[in-house]
Amino acid sequence: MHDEEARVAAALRAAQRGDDAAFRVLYRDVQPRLLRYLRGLVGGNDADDVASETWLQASRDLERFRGDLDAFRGWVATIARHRALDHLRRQRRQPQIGGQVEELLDLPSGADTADAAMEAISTDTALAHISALPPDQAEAILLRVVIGLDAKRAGRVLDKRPGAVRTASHRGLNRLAARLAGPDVTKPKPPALKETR
Amino acid sequence: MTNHRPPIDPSTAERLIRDARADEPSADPLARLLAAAATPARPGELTDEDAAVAAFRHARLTRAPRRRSLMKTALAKLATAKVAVAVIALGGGGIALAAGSGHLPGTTGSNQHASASPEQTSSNGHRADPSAAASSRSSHPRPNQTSPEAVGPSNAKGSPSPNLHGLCTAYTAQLHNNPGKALDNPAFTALINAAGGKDRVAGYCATLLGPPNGQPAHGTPSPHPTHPTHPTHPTHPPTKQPR
Repeated sequence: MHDEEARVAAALRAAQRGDDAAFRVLYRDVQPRLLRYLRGLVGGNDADDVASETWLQASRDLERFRGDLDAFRGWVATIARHRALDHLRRQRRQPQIGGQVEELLDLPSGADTADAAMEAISTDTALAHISALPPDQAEAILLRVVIGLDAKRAGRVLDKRPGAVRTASHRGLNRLAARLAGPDVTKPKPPALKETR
Repeated sequence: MTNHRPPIDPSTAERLIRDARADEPSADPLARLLAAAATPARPGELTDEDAAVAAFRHARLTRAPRRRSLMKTALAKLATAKVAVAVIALGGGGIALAAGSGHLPGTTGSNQHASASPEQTSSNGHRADPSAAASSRSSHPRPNQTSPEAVGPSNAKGSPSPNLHGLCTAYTAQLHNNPGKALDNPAFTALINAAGGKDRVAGYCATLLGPPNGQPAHGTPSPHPTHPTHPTHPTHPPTKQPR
């Protein structure tokens, strides 16, 4: 893990100097994180496009970026977030977070929960569970777990204090835990956005 | 909370998040869920890699190394396009640029030209908010001398690329002649490159030119390398922010 981090950190430096191969290493590390975060924000259909826009902008500004690998992930996440919000605004849509999980996949039924816990949880299922949380909780968890930011950097992306990010992720985890253990796993709560707006 | 279950305490929550990438299998369903969300790349997630690399390569080729030659090309075109004349009508930092074009002040100047100013640019609905440009660069101070801070009117003398100022002035004038198409003129390629994209030129120039009295804009960005909060458009309405 540490070796891999060091390898990607070195790739960041080399990519900033214009090295294509190093950029690939960087991309392979960051793109999956980015896509999963964007799926939460704009949905699976549009995440690819928004990710492409994000890389376009990041490539353009990469030379001038200053900071380490963690800072870079936060920087790219911020670009992605703004691109996603632009995208949603163009489409006059609300963030995807908090909704439509039931359309994306079959969640394990309550009866399967015990077995399911022993099986591998697919990345898609995990992301769907997280994305079904209230938006602030979902985004805090996605930034910290999926992008890999600490609370401070996630706070910068969200323009929130680290404490607020920790609280949101803490609440989100409690909700997730309850849902994993609960009898109503088959029916994710209605989209939070519809509750609040 | 949808059912009864001992709540996770804050320190456990922090540990769960920290361990999501730890590669240590857990029997706890929540830990497994978080680990699943954080797994390494899956094949379907890297299908756009070649396109991204191509974009990266393109960005690199159109960046700093060629900036100077692009500038020369742009300036030559600028002179023939007579945009420079508008610069003279405006006064300000474009004088030297216009003088090289061989046109006398006022030959094609019109009221429209004369009235062009960065302030009016922004009031016309073009994005000339200095904070837009500021935030777009806040995370990456430029080591070279092409940023507005470095080539602003107050210190254009001695700057290696003062022509950006002239280009901005010309762009502002063009904006009034050809709203929406101003940047289609190839003369502005260098400006677009320096600003980091067409959509940023207005903000870039607003910062570069500052208020019409020639002073640098207020709130000139002070880049924070370790604080990449808003590398992009800061213009989202709060109502669209996910919370």
